[in-house]
Amino acid sequence: MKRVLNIVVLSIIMSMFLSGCMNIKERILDDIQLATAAAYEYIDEDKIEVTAVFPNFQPDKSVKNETLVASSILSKEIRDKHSLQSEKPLVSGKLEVTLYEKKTAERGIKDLLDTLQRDPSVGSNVYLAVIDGSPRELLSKQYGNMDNGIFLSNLIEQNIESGLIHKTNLHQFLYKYYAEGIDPMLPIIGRKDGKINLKAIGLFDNDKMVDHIEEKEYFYLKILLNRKGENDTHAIQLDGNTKVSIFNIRSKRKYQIPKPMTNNEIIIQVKIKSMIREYNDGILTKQKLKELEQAMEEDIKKNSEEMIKKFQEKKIDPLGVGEEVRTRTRKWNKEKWEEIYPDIKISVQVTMDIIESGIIE
Amino acid sequence: MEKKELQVSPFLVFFIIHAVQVGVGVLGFQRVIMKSAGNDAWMVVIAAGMLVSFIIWLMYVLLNRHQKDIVQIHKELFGKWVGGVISLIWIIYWLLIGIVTLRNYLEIVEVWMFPTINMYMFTLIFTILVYYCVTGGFRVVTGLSFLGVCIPFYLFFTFFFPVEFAHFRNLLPIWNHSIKDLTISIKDMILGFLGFSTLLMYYPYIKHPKKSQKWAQLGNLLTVVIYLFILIITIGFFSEGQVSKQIWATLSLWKIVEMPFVERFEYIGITSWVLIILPNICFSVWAATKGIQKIFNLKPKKVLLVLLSILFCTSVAIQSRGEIALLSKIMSLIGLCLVFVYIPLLTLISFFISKMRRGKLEKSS
Repeated sequence: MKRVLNIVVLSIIMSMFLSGCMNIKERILDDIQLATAAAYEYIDEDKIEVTAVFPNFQPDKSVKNETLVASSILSKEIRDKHSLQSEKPLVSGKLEVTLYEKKTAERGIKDLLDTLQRDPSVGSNVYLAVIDGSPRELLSKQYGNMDNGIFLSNLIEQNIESGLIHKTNLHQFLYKYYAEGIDPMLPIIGRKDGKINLKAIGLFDNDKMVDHIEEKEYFYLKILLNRKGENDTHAIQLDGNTKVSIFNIRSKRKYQIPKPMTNNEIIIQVKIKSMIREYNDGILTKQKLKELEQAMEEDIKKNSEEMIKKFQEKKIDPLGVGEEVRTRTRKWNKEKWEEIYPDIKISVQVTMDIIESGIIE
Repeated sequence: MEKKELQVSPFLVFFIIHAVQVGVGVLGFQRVIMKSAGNDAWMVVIAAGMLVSFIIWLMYVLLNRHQKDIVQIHKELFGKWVGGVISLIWIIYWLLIGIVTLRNYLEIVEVWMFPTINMYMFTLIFTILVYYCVTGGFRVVTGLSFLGVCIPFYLFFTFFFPVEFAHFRNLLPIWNHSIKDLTISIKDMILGFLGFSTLLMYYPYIKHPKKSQKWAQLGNLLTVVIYLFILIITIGFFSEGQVSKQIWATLSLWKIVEMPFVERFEYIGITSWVLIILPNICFSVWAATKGIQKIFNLKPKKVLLVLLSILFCTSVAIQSRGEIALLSKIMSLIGLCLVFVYIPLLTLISFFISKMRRGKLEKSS
């Protein structure tokens, strides 16, 4: 008798737990709208317009890109407004890319980042990018057989993996935003002849975009940014008609800071082991290889020093020179560093080794 | 000493000590200790671990002399009334550990996973689970702590994912902070180690207890290693300004983990963490139950029911993050005093009293 009673009590308790008593909100995948991209634009002093992108799965297995546009004072508020236009509730758990209109990025994106940091459902792998042009227009077009969130995320990911642009995501942006002695960068996306392309890399001073570098400078930026690099490609034209394109097999970057936190020279040493991808001037002799190496070294040195000069003039530090100094000094003082940074002589020393030249001579 | 069949092997002390030390603290200790120690915080972990190791040694000195649990030691040294009151303070402290751990965990579930979760139900399930485990007796709780260490261990491998983005130069320059800053941090860090004091209660349940000290120290070492591992990855992965914003930096580390079959790892991580929390709560509740039972000679099941209803009511009554923080603060203050002031004191007192009594005995004979 007691056993029966036990079982009855247990089953009542169990059914209590299993039924909705826990009050956990169920989210069934078919009943929600997974936003994959969100683009922000300030339309006046404190109102923002957000374009949300979500996939619409068609019966014939193709995916249609759909967008919703709404504006309000805060991003989460806008999500509710989006839901008012949508058949299913919009959720941010699958967010892949967030985009900021160029003028918005120049104004500062600090306020727009809070929603990404505070919301536990947004991952750190979200890509951030700046958009050149109207987000509403750019995102409403279909670019592939997928929605634009996945398309843009694949576009950025593919280019990071193949080494064309630097590693970037929400975490990296926030790391550099909060860190002392390094400033964030984000890729700039634009439209050209109806196609999307990564046209430049935007340079930020804290949360404001102040400058950008063009596609031809990506290489210099990349080999100077990371301690170890690979996969970068670069092409130069020597005087005359000699053109050569190389592929970086592995590169090492090292800082030499003899006297940190002073005006003394900072030397960045870069050692590159590379391979020739394309060459147009006949047979490659040892003599010619030497010449090529030298020409490359000079080109990299000249251009990257120019690039650093430009950074110093703008008082930004996307390469993280400040971070290198900070980890080498005990008396780190952010204000003092910012004061002396523009006047420090930063020089680049390059050692280029061409170790392979493809499968023909 | 307890009956042979109730006792456990000395090597299990390794799991018990480790299971009781690692709780919700691991999920968010970085912000607190890096506030004043910055990138030197890893030294703080080692220093705190050494201090705890010293206290464990002291406990063994005390317990080895008496071969009894702390309630009986109090009775022997201070008499029935004074001893009882002091024992009661310890019991409240242990119960507080249980409450704080449970409530902190519930908060994590609420904030990270289910904002609308029904707290009453969830707490009730947890309390029933604890009741079920603790009524099984000490051996069951020990078995639980063994599983609670072994099964969730795979979680620590997931912390290799953030290494890809880590800037380990952040660890430099070493000795960037003053001794004063480090000392403040050590005080905060020790909270992550508290809970090992339940050893005072389960000592009689260990076979050849004198041999178990080695295992207790090793358990403490494993805790230090885990804290150190997570902290070093945190220092590399986050910049200092970023850590100061993360309430649960360890969980934020998981945000970067992305696997083909799971988009967000936190959900798996937080759910697995139950296995780490459960032995933690069970041990503190078990120790409190055993203590009350020994002082008042009551039936353990009734005591347990009363304690669990206190546990349930308090964790439901606490509402906001501010209140949770306050309770944690009170708990840690009591813990610090009891473990780092009272235990050395008690060891000294016990030493002198036994010497005096022996002196008297020799005189009278």
